[in-house]
Amino acid sequence: MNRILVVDDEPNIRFIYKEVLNEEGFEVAEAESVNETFDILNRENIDLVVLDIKLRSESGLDILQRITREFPNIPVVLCSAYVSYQNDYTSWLADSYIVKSSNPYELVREVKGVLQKKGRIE
Amino acid sequence: MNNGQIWQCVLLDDKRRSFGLPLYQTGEEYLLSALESRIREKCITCEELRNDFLDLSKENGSVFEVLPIVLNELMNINQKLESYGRSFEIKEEMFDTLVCLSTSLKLVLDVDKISYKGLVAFTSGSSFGFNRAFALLADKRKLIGHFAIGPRDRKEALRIWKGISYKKMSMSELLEFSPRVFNKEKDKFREILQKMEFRINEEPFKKVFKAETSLRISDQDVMPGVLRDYYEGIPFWIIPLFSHLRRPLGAILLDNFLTRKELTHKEVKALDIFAMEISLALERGLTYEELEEKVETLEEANVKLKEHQELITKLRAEASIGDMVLQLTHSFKNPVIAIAGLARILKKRAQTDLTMSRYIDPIFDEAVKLEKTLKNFVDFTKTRYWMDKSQLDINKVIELLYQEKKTKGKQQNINFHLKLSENLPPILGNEYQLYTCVENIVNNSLEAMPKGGELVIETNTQNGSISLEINDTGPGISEEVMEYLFTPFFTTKTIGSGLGLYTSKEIIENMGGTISVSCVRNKGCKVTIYLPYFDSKENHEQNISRG
Repeated sequence: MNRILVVDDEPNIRFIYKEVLNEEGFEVAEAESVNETFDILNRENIDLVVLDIKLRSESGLDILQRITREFPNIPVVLCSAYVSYQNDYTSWLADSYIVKSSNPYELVREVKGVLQKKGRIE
Repeated sequence: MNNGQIWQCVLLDDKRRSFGLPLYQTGEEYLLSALESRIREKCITCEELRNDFLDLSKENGSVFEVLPIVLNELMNINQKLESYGRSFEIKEEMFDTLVCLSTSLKLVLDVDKISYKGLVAFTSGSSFGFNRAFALLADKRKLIGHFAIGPRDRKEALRIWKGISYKKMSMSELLEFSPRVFNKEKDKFREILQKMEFRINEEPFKKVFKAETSLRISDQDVMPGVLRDYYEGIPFWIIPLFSHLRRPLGAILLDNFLTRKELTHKEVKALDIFAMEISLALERGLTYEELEEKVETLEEANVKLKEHQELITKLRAEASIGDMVLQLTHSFKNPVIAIAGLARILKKRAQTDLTMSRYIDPIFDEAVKLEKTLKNFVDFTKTRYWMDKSQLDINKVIELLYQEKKTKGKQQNINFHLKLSENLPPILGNEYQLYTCVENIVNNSLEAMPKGGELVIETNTQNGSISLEINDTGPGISEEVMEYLFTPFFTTKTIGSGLGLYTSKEIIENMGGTISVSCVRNKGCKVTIYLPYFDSKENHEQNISRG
């Protein structure tokens, strides 16, 4: 079973993602800060990170850079509230990019797609 | 004639008195009893006395032979004196007229008044007393009929001259500007004045301005058909009017079509002195007019500047409103997504439970509606207020502008040609600003072609940049103007803030690009803009900092 880490500072968003990912048979770990994120990444086997661009006082971008440096094999799906960043990121470090919407199943599709591409679907 | 009679005539004996005396007129009876005065005033110039002397010398010889010669010389001197006196009187009057004119022109700045006074001075009184006069004023490289004074024909001449002598007006009274007379005279000559439009470098004006002195023009000279037809072989004089830097200001045309009077060399010189007075006044008047126009333009620019400043303040306020709105909508977005997302999950799980669906569906629908409203709101705010940069397709900006301007272009008979290179890489900038920038340039081109022309807008890639060229077929820009083209508050338009091109340059440079203008006189203008490609790696950080 694939284990997904959801990094977002909004508990309700984490809750929704956890619900829909569980539905699809993924295990979900949650983090709301940089420290928590790397605690989990160091401790557990994570197959993919779902990362919000904007965390309360920290930048999702910093986390993204650290992940690509320290865990280059773990794919990242970036989430943002706005479309405008999409173009800037598609070719950037993240493996995928989604705009947050009222349809959380879009995220599930994206996660599955990236895992398949990386050959990490279990 | 015998001796007895002559001496009797001079000495005036009673016998002579009875049959009258030559040269005497009524009212000169006092001379009958004053021998010395009589001889000095009358006899000396009397033909009869001279003849008597001749007879005397024939009969008596010796000393009497001298007398006719002395008398003759005396008469010659007398005649000369008289002619000097007349010439002196004319000179004196000319001098008086010049003084009057000079005084009268001193405080005058109005070009109409100056022309009026100048022409009156040339046509009134006995100093010059030309029959007719025309004033032409220089406009660029042309001389244009401005004002004329004098009779149109002999009949009118008699009436005018009678009028003046009857009223006995002094020169300074005559020189007083009368709007009524001015308009009447101008109206009278309107037709010919309208025809009078000559190039400064066409004959006979060319040689007059070159000689820098008044010249007499006769039908032997080369001249435009308008003048030849008008003067019909009568000679006329052209007086050139110059600024102190020898720039032609105008010319005065004078003629004696009725009296056919010719001018002496000295009188022609005198014309030049008058011309100098008029030139000085005219230069002053024209400079004043120019100054007034400039002040007006400045005042307009000032108003525009104020408006522009207000606009900037408003834009700044709007930009901060934009920021605020974006922050606000951002803080709304997560809760809306959470509600809508949870409702969706709930909806999915309660698919079969109709009772639950009755409550969940409206929650879901409303949340999705709210999400959409938020999105539209953000989009609107961004395009309207947000000054941050994003990736742009320059072709789209140009197409948008074309849609906006094509109607105006059509009205002006301007053909747009869009040569947009396909698949251009994106550039980084603010769409609203880039639009404003290109719009400024296109507006300038449209204004440069009020009578129609071609406007070519071309995009291309070149050495890692995107090039945008805007070509028009207007009159181009003079070197003088070119130097100040991008200077703030510089404008050649009557209405314009002079900030358009300056703002355009600021925008382009702010986008890391360059803008340049090149012109070919009377062929058109080319504005070239280079903008760097958008490089995602270089730019992502400054973009994301808002995230």
